[in-house]
Amino acid sequence: MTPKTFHSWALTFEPVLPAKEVAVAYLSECGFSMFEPHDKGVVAHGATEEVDVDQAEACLEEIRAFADLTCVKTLAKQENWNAQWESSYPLVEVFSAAGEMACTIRAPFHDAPAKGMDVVVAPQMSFGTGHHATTHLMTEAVLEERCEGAKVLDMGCGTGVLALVAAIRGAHQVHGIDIEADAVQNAKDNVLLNPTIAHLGADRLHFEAGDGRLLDEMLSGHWDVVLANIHKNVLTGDMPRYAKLMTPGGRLYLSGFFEGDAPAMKHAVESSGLVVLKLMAREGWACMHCGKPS
Amino acid sequence: MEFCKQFNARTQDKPGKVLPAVITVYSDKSFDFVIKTPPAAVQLMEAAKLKKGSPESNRSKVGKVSWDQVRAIAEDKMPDLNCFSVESAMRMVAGTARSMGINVIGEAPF
Repeated sequence: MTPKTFHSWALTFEPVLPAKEVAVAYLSECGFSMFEPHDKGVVAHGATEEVDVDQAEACLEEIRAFADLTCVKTLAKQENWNAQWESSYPLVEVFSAAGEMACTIRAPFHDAPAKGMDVVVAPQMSFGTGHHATTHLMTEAVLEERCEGAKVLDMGCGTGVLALVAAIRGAHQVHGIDIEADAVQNAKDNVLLNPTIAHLGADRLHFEAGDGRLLDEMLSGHWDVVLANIHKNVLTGDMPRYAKLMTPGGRLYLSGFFEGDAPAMKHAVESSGLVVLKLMAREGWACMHCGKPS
Repeated sequence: MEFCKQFNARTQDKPGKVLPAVITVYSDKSFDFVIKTPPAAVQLMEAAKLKKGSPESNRSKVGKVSWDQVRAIAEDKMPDLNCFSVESAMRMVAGTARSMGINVIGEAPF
């Protein structure tokens, strides 16, 4: 994991209001993205590569016109807040529609399962341990999908768990993309934890950092299966890209949105010339199975 | 990570906005969170179009808003403010606007 650094500016104001609020409004325009308010002011945090320090200083100067202000600046390193959980958490079992044990998603410290597919994922700070309802629904979908020999694209791959399941099931080519470089590194590390796919070259199993724009450089009609467990706005925004890249008769699996957003998602799916085949739900989260007409 | 997924999904209609959130983490590691309305100062910058992309965005924030806009922000913020009437909430919002160099245009409606 590449450690990031953050500016942490501890600000106090006299009088506190409206300076505290104005500081949040101004500093959010200068690259600060997190604010911890307290009685006397606020602590502002922002990634060093995003914060414009000169602009932020100018903003504080403007606030000094109507409030006394103190500012203590520190640099904070990114911490792995997830470390404790990562060291001990329960494994996840996914059952087939018939109720059979189909797949175990586990960490390296768990014992291998006696039955069903074994997928090993060391999550670090990425999303996709199987615990979340959306990962569970997507895993079920990939286990039901005809993966053998297929070309599978995994958008928002996180730990790479869905890509790993597809690869273990015999997909011919699997490509995972995530906006977080840490997640991409994590997915690559996870490949090596799974002996049946650890030897696959980058032409068969590949992970890359980026967003939907990477899809614009890909061949139309290439992917038999597209997986995207992300967020409603990202999914609806990238839907035409997914549709373009799918083979005729290809399938698209979407998750990361609430059941209540299913009508909006269906509209986006159909607007891109795709059809909804099935809607699955778990704990309020939805997973939409879609197809591209042949 | 579950929290991030849920937070992103619950705030999907407010991209790019500063949103105060009160997060409660329980001893069994489960959590709950309440998302509040954006600070009045943030809403004022939006109303006065002093958001990102404006050349005046961060220096000499001179802008203007109408009393109707002030009322809309005050009504939105009422649950978070210690005010008994919309008028007193409007006075607070107008005070914040003045500090930011944003003029409230027109006759005060109270």
